[in-house]
Amino acid sequence: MVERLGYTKLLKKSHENKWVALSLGYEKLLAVGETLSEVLKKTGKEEVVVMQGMPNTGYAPTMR
Amino acid sequence: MKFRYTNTLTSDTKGRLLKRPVLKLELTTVGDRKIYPVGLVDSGADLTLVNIQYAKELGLDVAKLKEKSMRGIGEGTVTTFLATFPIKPVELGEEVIVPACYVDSRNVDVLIGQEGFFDAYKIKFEKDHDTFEITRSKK
Repeated sequence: MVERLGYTKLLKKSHENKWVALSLGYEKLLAVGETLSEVLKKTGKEEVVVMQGMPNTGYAPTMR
Repeated sequence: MKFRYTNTLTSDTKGRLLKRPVLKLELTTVGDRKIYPVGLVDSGADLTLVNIQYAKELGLDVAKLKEKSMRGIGEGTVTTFLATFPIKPVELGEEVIVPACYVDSRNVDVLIGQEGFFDAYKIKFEKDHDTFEITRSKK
């Protein structure tokens, strides 16, 4: 069993709509920025977890 | 292989944290760095959708890509750019190249849609058990 990814504890409301870089094991927030390339540049690390901080809302694809 | 649903920061109607079926993916950038985005396994998406900012890191020239209109991720239809995307879940250790629409949207990071990935794998959602299972399709 692959356990749940542990990034949630590092993300805050201030990260909504920002890009973040985290350590590989989700222990540490490494960088926050407006773009993916900005956070990669800030960390300078060869291997990082990256993601866009999503708004604190539900998600559903729309249909019509 | 079974995976646990991952907590989000969002609550359901009862105030409990929502959980989603997400995978840690491995991507190799054009600069030969390894980055690990998180992909939502989305059976409701026809195609994989990827934030356009990954295109640059993968060395794609968006100006040369074919446009494809998609709906469901914004008001009306949204222009996306069609290319491929290598889906390599870290724990599965194998890569599937799928068609993907790159989109400039704050609502999309990586959404793993049906074409390509759901053809290559049998995916069983067991939300009632807080797990989902991915196995290679025998087709």
